[in-house]
Amino acid sequence: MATESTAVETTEEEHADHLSPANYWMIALFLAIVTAVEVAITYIPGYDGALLVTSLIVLGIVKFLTVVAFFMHLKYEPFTMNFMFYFGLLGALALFIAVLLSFRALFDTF
Amino acid sequence: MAVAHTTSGGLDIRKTAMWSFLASELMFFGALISTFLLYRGRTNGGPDAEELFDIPFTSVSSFVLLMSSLTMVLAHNAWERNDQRQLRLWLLSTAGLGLVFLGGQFYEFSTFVHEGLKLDTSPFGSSFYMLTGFHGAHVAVGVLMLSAMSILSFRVGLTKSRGMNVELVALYWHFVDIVWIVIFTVVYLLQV
Repeated sequence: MATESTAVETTEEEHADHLSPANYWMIALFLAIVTAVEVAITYIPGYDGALLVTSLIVLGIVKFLTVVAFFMHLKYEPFTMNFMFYFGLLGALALFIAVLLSFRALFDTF
Repeated sequence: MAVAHTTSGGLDIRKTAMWSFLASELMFFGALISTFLLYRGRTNGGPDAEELFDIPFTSVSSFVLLMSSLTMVLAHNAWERNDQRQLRLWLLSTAGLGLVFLGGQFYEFSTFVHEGLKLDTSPFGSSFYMLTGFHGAHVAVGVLMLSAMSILSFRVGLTKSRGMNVELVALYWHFVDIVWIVIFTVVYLLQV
């Protein structure tokens, strides 16, 4: 009989991991290398200004998306959850740009 | 048999709630990072980022937190396979790495205070401590949740039939890591 809290079997495959521990170690190695590159380029003489800022932002985005996609498994989640998270991310970016524009500081920031 | 926790669309309501919470947290940290960037140059004669930040030290802290994401995902993987021994090992490792990160942050704050940057020294100091302090508080909450999970795993075992606490704690922990990825790049590397 169906009740308010209907009892159903949890769909095991819904939460099944898509990667093996070896894959996770490889991803962590990749993230560590990217972090090392991030730090290293800040010490390269002459590698500064817009080039440095762009490189650091791109490397940061790569790390961010790698963790979200593979460690948080968002890549394997339904569209709705992807939408919620990326909507929040877009909201944060919009807030960031709005605040800095309001104080005319956007282009002085980096 | 497990009690259903699904939305009308068939989504797990606990995970849906957690993703919504994390999305709202993104905006929370977005506001703090924006504030820091606005005030980073206002030092009131106190020390600035270039004088204070020790990039090699913070890089090690970042590496520790990054590796805690690895141990967390390995704990999650062990939970999926119902391997309780590995689950405990990786949960405790994650909590331990979280504590190492917090220790590093405590050391960094102590050094900064010693060098003249206090919460009320300047807008730069206030916004820096608010941002990194709130992140540290999130790490501390994560360590508490991981400790609770570890205790539960020893006492009753953490299986899928007992709910998806491990998965939710894992999501929270990885979130703490991605926020630090942004902070490390924007607040530390781009300021020196």
